[in-house]
Amino acid sequence: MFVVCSILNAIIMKHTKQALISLLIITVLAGVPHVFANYLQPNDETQTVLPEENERSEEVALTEEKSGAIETQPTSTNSPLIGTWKASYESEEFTGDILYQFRKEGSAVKAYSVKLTDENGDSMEDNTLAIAISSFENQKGKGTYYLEYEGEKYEIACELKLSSSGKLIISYEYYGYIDTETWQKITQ
Amino acid sequence: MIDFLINDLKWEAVEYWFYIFNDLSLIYVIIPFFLLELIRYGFLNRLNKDLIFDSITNVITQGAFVVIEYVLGILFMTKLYFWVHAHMSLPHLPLNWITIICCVLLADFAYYWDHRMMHRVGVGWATHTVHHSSPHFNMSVAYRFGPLDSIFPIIFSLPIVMLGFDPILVLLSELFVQSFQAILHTEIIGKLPKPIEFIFNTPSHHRVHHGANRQYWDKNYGGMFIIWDRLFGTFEPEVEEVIYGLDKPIHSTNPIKVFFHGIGRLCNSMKDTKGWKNKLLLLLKPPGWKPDSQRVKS
Repeated sequence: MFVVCSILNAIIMKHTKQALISLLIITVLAGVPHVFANYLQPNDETQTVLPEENERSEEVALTEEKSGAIETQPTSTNSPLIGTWKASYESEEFTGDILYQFRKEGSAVKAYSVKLTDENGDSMEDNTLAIAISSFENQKGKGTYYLEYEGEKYEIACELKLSSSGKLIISYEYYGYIDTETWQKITQ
Repeated sequence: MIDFLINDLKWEAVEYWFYIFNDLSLIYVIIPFFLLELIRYGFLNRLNKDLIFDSITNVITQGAFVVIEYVLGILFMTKLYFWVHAHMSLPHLPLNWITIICCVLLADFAYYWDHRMMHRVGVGWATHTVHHSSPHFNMSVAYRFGPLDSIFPIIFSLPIVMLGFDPILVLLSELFVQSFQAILHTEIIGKLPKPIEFIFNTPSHHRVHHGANRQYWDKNYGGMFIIWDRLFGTFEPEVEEVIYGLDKPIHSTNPIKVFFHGIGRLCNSMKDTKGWKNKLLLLLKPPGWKPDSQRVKS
């Protein structure tokens, strides 16, 4: 271990200037997309307003302006969805539990399935996009549910509702078939 | 313009474009170019048995490389990348043009350092020497790989995943750099206009990289961009005619001998070197390194 460390040290000592230039290049190339993702994207308020809500929002804004009351819109930074959730399934395709993780990606909030455990207790890691949130405020929201059924991939509009007991109810409809899932939050 | 750069893209579209550039380039660039090269060899009376067998060997080493890559991928690489992305990463970046451009540039920068390490570290050269062991220079040489060639890039691409880039995007960007690199393995194209030669890696720059001429050793490591070499002092222009291959040629087109000759040479050097510390140093020091005591004797 000492040999490895001393050689690495020698390499670094010999090429300090190159190491610093490399660090600068990496910082710029990694920093630029993070800056764009966090600061230059349209803010969450713009994203969460759905077209049909535009008129209502303008009216609300006018009323608020008049009354002086400015309500803080929940942003994805403090979204109550962020964290790990668990859902149980019982179907022909899959019986078991799935862990989902809501993450912030730029200004968007997305849920990924991260671990699948079947009825026999066998589990596998995963990282598949499950839901992309398009709007979420006042414990309710809308998004796109990414489903795979019999090898076919579907993108279905869904509605989300966060209950007072901390459960997330997700409902969607495809080809006339209505389904509801309940996710339980397990970590922040 | 900024809106265009930061608008979210669909994975299907991104994967489709990478498929066209990475996978299909074999059909619309590599194979047609290789056929042109064969015709050129014919005209120059250089189309002989050695060249044909050498090209077949290149394809066989590529097959062995792909098998190793898949085995590693199934065993642990895929899981490792996604685990790092989930647990050791900066906030995940959205999929947009800015992210893709920066990821490709980072993958190219990582390629520079990975490539430089493969040349300047004993164990790296033991595997990468396979790629340089052909006395010919054509598109098939781009597919001549060594047994450990799929391992070293992990060291350099995992940090990119830790910076918030999606593992799949990192993989696609690395393949994009590799695909760009592949089309540089040709003698058909001379020097390109100066601005291109200044910024990008070109067939001329890469011929230098494959040169056995002393002044061409350990030069022009870049993948897509040659600016990294200019920045870090490893650039060399093509002046003298390039002699391809190694300073100690292997004189063989046997795919097994070609694939393992670097590892074999390293093992022989370790066997001939006294002391465990020196044996280990052989793995890390530049190729050709010998302990002081042995250097005095020789």
